[in-house]
Amino acid sequence: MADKRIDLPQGTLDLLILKTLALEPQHGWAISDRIEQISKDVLSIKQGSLYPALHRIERRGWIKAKWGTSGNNRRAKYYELTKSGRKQLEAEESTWRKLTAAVGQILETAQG
Amino acid sequence: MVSDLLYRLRALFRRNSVEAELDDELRAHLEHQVEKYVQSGMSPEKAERRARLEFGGLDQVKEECRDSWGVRIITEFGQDVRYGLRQFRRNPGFTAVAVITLALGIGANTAVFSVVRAVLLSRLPYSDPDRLVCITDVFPGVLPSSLDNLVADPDYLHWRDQNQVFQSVAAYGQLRGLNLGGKDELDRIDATEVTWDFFPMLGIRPALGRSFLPEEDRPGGPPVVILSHALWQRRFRSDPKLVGKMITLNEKGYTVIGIMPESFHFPADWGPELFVPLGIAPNLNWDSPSFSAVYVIARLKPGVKLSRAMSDLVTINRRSDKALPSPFSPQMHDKSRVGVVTLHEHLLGDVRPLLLILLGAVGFVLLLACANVANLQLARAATREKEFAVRAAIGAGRWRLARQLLVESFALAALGGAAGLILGAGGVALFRHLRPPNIPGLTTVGLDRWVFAFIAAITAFAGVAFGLAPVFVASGLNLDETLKESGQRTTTGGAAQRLRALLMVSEVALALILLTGAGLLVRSFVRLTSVDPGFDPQHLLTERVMLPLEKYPNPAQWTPFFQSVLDRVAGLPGVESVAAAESPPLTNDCIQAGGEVEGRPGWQYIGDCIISPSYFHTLRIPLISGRDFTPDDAGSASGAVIVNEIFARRFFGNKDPVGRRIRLGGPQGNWCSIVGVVRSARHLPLTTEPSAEVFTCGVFWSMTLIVRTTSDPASLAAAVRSKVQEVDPNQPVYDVATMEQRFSQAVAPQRFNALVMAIFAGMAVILAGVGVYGVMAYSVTRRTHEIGIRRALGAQRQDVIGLVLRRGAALVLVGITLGLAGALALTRFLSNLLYGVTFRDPLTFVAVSLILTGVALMASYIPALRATKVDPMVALRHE
Repeated sequence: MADKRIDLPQGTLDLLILKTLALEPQHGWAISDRIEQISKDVLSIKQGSLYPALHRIERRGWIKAKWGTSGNNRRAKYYELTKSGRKQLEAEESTWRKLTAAVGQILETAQG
Repeated sequence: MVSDLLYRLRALFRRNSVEAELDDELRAHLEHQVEKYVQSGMSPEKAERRARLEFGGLDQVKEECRDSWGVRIITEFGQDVRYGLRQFRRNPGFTAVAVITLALGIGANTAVFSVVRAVLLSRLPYSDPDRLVCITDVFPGVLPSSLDNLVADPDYLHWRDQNQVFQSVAAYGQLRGLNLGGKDELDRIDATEVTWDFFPMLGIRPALGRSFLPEEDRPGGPPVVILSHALWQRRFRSDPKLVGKMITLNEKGYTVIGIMPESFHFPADWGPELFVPLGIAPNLNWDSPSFSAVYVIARLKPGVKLSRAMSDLVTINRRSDKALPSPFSPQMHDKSRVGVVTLHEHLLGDVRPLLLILLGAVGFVLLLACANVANLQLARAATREKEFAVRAAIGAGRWRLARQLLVESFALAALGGAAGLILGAGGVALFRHLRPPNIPGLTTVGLDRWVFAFIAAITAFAGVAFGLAPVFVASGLNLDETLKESGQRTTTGGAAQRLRALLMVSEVALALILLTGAGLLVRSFVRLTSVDPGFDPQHLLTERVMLPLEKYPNPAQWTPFFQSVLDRVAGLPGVESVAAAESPPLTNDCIQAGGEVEGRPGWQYIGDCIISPSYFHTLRIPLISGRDFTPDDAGSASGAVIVNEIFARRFFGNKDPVGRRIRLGGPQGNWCSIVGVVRSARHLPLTTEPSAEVFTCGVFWSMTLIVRTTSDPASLAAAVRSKVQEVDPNQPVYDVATMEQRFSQAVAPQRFNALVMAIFAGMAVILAGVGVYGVMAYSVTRRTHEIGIRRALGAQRQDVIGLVLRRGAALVLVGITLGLAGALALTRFLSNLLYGVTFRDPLTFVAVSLILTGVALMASYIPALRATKVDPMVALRHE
């Protein structure tokens, strides 16, 4: 079965994680499940690659971790956006929008 | 960022719980995923497999997570250390040799640096010591050991009253012995007279009682005394009520007014134990009937430079000389110059060169140790080439390999440093035990944080110094070649060989430089001990007697006292003859006085010594012409003097001086006629050449008894003392020593220098020998194959030995040549410590070169012999 999903560009995983956590604190599996659902199977993300990213972001202080209990009574590590994480998200979001707008524009013009 | 740091620290130090959390987190993820699939109808086994597949390699994910924690470099470092230590355990021989070598180098450095730190680098224990200076008159042409640093009283008063550069100017007198109410040697206490502002200027207050008052520091002031802490403890059992009580000094009562703190010493740890006021008359000047001389120390006003102080004092000298000229001629006392040096320089100026030389010497020893360990590492790196190749092949980067080697080197250095610390502490103890007379302040030597910092620094230096060598070789490694190689034969390139040769050459050179230095010092010592003193030192006992002037104020009392002592001692069984002299041989107490020689205009410096008639006979100093003193000459106005040979030659050339006249003691002195000439003997310290001396017959209030005995002189010490005390039961006798002991004391500094340098040079030679052996042995191992072929083709035993020795000898000769050049450049710094040899003494240079060449060739000969035992068949099959 050939996989038609596209690989995630470098560095965008962080943005997706931050955005997902902006709604509410989540544990790792829930984050990956949500990104998978929302991206409607377009993006190919190895579930394992989520964790190094989570730990790296935690070290930077954008999210913080807390152990809690998940819906089906399992111990799970919940991640929560911090104040500086929120700022980082805003900055990354606006960078992303500018970038995609610019790239989109170039593609449009080139086609025309 | 703080949170970042805390995160990393947690990852580092709470490693186990962080790892457990990682496991939990990942497991929770998989369980959630499995549950999701099971709920959608999958069988548990299938769900599990699918979840794992989607997740990716679990271990790889974990590894990537660990990367995210940002502590990988440190945890890998831990692995490197553990791996390195495992390597050490696997090669105990290599590790032991390397650690011992390093420990020697680091230990020697630790010991010497501890001394340098305590003696040279610490501040003097007085308040704001950097502003304390020592001021001296300049007496050109005087033997440096006699009038050195003394200042005539009037000069001191002029400077004190007229200067604009000092906060205060204090003075203290020469050490003198006072008899503290008893009659054995222990009762003679070194005392010094000080001005009232002496202690305040140093910033030290007595621990008990008070300091001197200005009104106590005047001629005829009240008899008050301040004691050192040590004396108070020793003689008065730390009596807290001693202040205010009377003690007896020279049979006169003194009131104790203060006890100094335990930490106070001046000028060094052998300083005086009693202080009394100096009491110079305030209006003393050059026209006063008599004046004395003092040592002057002063405290500069803040910000005043030494040069400015010097010019201020010279100005004062000029002004006062114009007002009232001093009686000294410019040749005797150069008033246009004043010596101003910091107190630190004054006390330690002489020690600095010696300590710096020792520091340089141990620095060389450390370099040698590093070169040796580098050599060992190189040889080991060669046998480990396979290991590195394998590690590189399975993905270790060059940097990782280099780091591994550096980590191992540092671990080795750390082990060596720890062992060196222990050796260094032992070295410090040895230093103290040797008690070098030329180094003050040794009691404060110890291992403090500066010494620890120094050890850490040289250990790190050593780690880099020998750690780089194998890295250098390993980084030049050709992977494919090494892996293809079979067996033990290695392919270390030319670079490693050149490096090894370079190390060997530098080891030989360094060892030669040290050996030359030691050789020069040892030869100086030998020369000094074989100096002909001009008298027969065997079977001589000396004891000093100093009459208290308070009890014997009249010179007429001195003659009968000493005459009856001499008579009684002469009657003792075992005494061959006895004499008395103002200053015993080999001390620098001989007074340098001005004198006038008939027919020669101007004043001359002449050594002047008062002796008893039997002096030359007792010391066996031969008479060259004229006659010896007779009892009739003693104390009489006959005006007979005897001069030594140097005096005769200097003032009368080849003519016989007998019958000529000289005048001592200033223009008021009497003309005395020379009745005899004796051979020159060494009255001053051995290192000083004999000077022109005049002997007069008589007694002084302080005399040394010199007894020639028929048997062991030390056994008569108590008997001689009892004879003195038969004459006056309260008279102490002190400084009892045989002449041989005095000789030993006189050469103690040179003995210390030679011994310490010889120890370091010995270490250097051993290290160099081991180094040469290592290089040659390695080269023989490496060439086993070649030697086997040569043997198979018919090379004889001596051909093989020649083959190995030729290469060894070539390198050794290069090392010797470089070492000689280095020694020629460096030995000049030893000049001041040498006696009787120049710093380019050819004999020493030749001798040490031969010794070192011999050692190095021996070290190459052993591997050469081993090379002859190579069995051609085995060597060839080796392939």
